[in-house]
Amino acid sequence: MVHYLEGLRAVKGEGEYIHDLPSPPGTLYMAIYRSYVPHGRIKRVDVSDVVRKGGIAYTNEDLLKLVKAPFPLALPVKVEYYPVAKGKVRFVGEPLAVVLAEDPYRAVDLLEYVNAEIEELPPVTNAQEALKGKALVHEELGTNVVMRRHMEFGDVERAFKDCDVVVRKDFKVAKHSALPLETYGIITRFGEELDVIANVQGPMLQAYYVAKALGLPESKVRIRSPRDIGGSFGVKYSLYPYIVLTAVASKLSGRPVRWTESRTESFLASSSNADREGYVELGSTRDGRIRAVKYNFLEDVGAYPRPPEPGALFRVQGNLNGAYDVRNIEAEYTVVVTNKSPTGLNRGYGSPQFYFALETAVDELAKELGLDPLELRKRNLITSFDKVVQGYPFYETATGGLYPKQDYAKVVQLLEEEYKRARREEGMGVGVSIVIEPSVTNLGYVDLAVEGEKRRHKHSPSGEYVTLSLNYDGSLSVFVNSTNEGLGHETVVAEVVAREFHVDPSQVKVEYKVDTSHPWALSSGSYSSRFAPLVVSGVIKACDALKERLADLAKRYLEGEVKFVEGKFVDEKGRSVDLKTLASSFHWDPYSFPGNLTVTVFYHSDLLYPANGDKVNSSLGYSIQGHLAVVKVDPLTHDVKVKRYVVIHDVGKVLKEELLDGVMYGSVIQGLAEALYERLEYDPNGNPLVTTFDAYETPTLAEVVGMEITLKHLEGEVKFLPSGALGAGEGPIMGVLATLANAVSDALKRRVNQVPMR
Amino acid sequence: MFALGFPKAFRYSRPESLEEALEELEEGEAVPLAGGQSLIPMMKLRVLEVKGLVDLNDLEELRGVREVEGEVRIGALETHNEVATNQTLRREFPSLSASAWEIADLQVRNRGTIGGSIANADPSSNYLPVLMTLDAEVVIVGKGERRERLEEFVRGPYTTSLRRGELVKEVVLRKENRRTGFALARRGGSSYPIAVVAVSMSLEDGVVTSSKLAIGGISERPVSFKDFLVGKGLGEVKEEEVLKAIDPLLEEVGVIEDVHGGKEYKLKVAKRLVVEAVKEVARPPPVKEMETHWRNGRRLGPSTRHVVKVKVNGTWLEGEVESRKLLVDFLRERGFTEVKRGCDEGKCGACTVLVNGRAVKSCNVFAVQADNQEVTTIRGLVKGEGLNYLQRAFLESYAMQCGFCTHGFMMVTHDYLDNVDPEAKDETLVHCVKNVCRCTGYVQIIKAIRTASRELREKGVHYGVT
Ligand SMILES: Cc1cc2nc3c(=O)[nH]c(=O)nc-3n(C[C@H](O)[C@H](O)[C@H](O)COP(=O)(O)OP(=O)(O)OC[C@H]3O[C@@H](n4cnc5c(N)ncnc54)[C@H](O)[C@@H]3O)c2cc1C
Ligand code: FES
Ligand code: FES
Repeated sequence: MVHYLEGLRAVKGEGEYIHDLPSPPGTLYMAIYRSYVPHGRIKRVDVSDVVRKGGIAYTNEDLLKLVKAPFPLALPVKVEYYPVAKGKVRFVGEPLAVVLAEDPYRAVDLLEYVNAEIEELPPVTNAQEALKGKALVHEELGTNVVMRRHMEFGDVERAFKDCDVVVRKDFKVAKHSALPLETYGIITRFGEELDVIANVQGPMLQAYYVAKALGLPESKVRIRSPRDIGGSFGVKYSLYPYIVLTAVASKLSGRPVRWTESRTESFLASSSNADREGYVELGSTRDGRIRAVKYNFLEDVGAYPRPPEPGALFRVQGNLNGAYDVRNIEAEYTVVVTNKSPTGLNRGYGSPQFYFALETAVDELAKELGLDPLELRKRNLITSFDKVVQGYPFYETATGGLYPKQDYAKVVQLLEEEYKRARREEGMGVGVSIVIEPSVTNLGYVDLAVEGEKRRHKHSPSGEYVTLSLNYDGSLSVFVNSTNEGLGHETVVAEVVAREFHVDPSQVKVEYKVDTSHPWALSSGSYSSRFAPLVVSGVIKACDALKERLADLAKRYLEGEVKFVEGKFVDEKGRSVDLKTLASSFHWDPYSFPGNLTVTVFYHSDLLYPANGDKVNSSLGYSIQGHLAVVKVDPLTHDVKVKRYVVIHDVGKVLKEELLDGVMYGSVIQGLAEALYERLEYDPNGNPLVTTFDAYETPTLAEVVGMEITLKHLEGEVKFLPSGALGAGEGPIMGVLATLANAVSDALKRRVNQVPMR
Repeated sequence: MFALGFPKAFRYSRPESLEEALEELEEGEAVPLAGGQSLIPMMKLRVLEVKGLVDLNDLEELRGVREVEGEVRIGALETHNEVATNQTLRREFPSLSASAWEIADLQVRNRGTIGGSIANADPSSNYLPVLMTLDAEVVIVGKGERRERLEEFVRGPYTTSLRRGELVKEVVLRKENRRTGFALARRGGSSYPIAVVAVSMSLEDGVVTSSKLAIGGISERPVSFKDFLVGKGLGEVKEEEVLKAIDPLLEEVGVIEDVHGGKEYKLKVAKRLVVEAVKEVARPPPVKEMETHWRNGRRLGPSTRHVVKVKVNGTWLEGEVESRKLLVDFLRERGFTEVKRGCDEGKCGACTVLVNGRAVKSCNVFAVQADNQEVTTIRGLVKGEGLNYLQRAFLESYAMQCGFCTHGFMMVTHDYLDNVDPEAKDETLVHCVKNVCRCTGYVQIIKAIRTASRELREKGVHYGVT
């Protein structure tokens, strides 16, 4: 049978998800009363009828009494972001009050007895209106603009002047959520200490923000996640307002409090990417050498710039040139607030929008030059990796990124074969794109929200702790303070450790979940495809460290130098001692066999350092990925049918192919959903139109039947990482939007400028 | 209010006879409950509040398809899957079968009924345009019995001529030799149709002598047109001609714009569908006859609470429940946490279980409706240790990531392979398994379904056997 621990739990129905955990005795169920208007002044919130009906309820004012401070922001602006509305409501769905009852049905019933009087204010419903500033989301700012950044690398003005051709391509990407199937869930007890169990995607964005809001020292906060999380894609990193609400409700009621987000609420108020619009300018020579690129992005982060926003703009900072050798880059970023739900982490984090803008502009340039789109890309592809850092070859981008040496030409050659084949099919639209997929985020890039000279501290979190123990019976235990949203992390860690120690994977017990009473790093968590490059490297380092300790023990049995060979330590005379013997000796008789068979390592790559001005190596891994789409477009309705989709990439070492395939298929289809269907739309008055799967137009299994998806993994050597593996979970969604738009444009013979394409 | 997914309290009753049901409806403020596939989602989303529900599922008077003197009478409680696969209906009214088959997914079709659908008069109902083109009549029972043309019966969006205390008893169709067509479009798999088109034509030597065209979904009430393409030879009629003929008709239609599309787009889709419906003869689904049995056989008087007895994975569970308690919560509270909840609208399928062997969304049925019935989860489909064929196929195909959707997918796959199409052909798969998975992109799930199908056919292994 296959070795897939999470899969086995799933087919047996034995997963342990947040909503499956039992409630502690005395638990009250919380329901949230939310604003029904996009923008307004709160006149009165009255819960006395709830109390009259026998329920417990707290208004925003009641709740705010226990909130010591607003959440810290990444932007130095005077916006106060609280877990519940204060003074004003700023989006439909913003919490205003909570109701507690013994059972969830009743809690929802009681919501009807909350009375809120809100004086409506004119809403700001899109970025253009926000710029006009007729209505202000946060009056105290005097503007709706919360950030403007302008940055330049190289000599952009001159480069554009020297170009024969300059094209400008406008674009728009709609608000979208990857929307995990499992909604948020929290079980909180707040007595002397705060004890939270929630399906979070990592400890930091919870522990840090929750502790700040409640004015607690870290030592009084414990956050745990269940073993299984029903998908996240970044979305479950934005759980902290709700954790604070449950905490305060628990404190006020003196009871444990449980909250389960409804699907409707998840559409309204959980994390999504921002509506982004803007343009890209490309300058090139007549023969198609791109010399300069300019980005102008206008980002609508909704009602509050929820941290780490506006990080979505900077996640790609190190790879602003894409796959191309372009040294002159200008970026102009504007971030506005509007009366929509706050944005945040969401699969691809800024990259799908970025590559949509860049890679559709490249097609536009090809058209202008009369060149084949793939040919134009080939002419600009990076060819030499001549920057040596710590002994490894890289291409250093103009913006500070370090692309490890890979065979870009090979990937493009394989893409070209597919492209030629597709071109021969009649009546189809064909599109390509090439992306450089960043993986393992350097959180230091969030600093770019502030000009270099104004930054007070340096940041570069990106590492991970791994704890590994050898148990008395020779089995091994691993603990990683991160989360398992179904990416097979337990399975892969077990296999890596098993291989390192030459034991069967069944001998390795992996705990892969958040528990802040164990060592954790600010960067801990499952995001930015950091598992394969970083966590697995940490696991290998931990194995090395444990082997070193075991070697010391082994010396008590053996003589001279010892080596670890096939599960045993062997000395020069060929005598050996196995793991089980060593484990047993230490555990049963530490007097005679002193040591310590638990190691905790912190793995962090020296390639990730704080930003220098606006230059930053924003990710640890960068890998090339070629995309191709073949589509059929109905000439009358313009409905798109995707016939074939191909992704070819160099991912370094493949750790487990079935899991890699799975995550990439998922990423392709999520991109397809974003490109063709799903959109969190608001009406002109700021009311959300999408609160159901029906309105979201989510594709089901039926839409994928008959679609051919081909993945090709090249396994170039990646020497600078112990795991040898680069990230791969997000690359597809980064390229799908652009690729499909290019294919549809090809079919329609006119440029598609926005997604979803409708 | 946005914390949704739980209906408000109501009184539930389950009469044994039509007479009793009519009395309860006449007296109280209760409304009839048939398949519940429109009613329960609306109650969960709290767009509809009812004081009481009278469950019709035990009324044999409302079941069956009968041929009487050149007419075919379809009982209101015939489920969509039954309408789609019934031999008589397939033969006589292929466009009706086709339209039923394209409703939602296997689970919704297992429960939802034709009577419920027309009584609900949803503007985007699959049935209404087809029934219009077939000149259907509706038999209504109350104090007496009356018969009304469907076109008059449907008054507007969600409104019909039904009066308090009345029920739809039957839908009546006259057998006539007509060529029929049906076409439907939806945006994304999980949405209701944005346009539904049906056509019926009488032909002489290939020339249209009389016809009826109906379009639903784009306006508040489906619209119908007589004599479309009359005088044209169907064989040679070109797409442009069809489009030219439809243009003036569509001008009159008041198109509703919504999140799925504006007026222009919807009209284009409607035109595309008209071409399809005219060009292609409606085909009933390529599957064998399906039957569903939802009779509980235990009368319950109106009450907000009931004592129920449900057999779950072979063991009887008894308890008092609120009438509004959804089966999904009933099961989860009792430890069957493999049954998941992923939406408020009855769409995602994560909550799918087998009731009497058929896939049903447990968030779209009340626990009290499972009274005296058999519920099965994956744990009830395994004997002893080890995995059954479905579990093996899903595991070996790596058909999951977070695993939240897996149980629901296995359950609907089971019903699909068992009762619909053991070969898992594309053309049936797309109309049956329409659960939502946010992680896998479905590719490996499709592979798992095919693997399970192969194993089922080649080795004859079945559930209960590992
Ligand atoms: C996810 C999902 C997707 C769907 N997609 C589609 C689709 O694509 N196309 C489509 O057409 N439908 C769709 N439906 C609706 C489905 O077809 C319903 O089954 C149908 O609309 C209602 O039938 P029901 O038997 O379920 O009725 P119920 O929900 O039980 O009742 C609906 C209404 O009719 C009344 N009623 C029921 N029976 C009678 C009767 N005999 N006499 C008088 N009044 C009665 C009820 O009081 C209620 O007001 C979908 C449903 C779901 C959950
Ligand atoms: S269909 Fe039942 S929970 Fe989604
Ligand atoms: S595996 Fe996560 S929703 Fe399907």
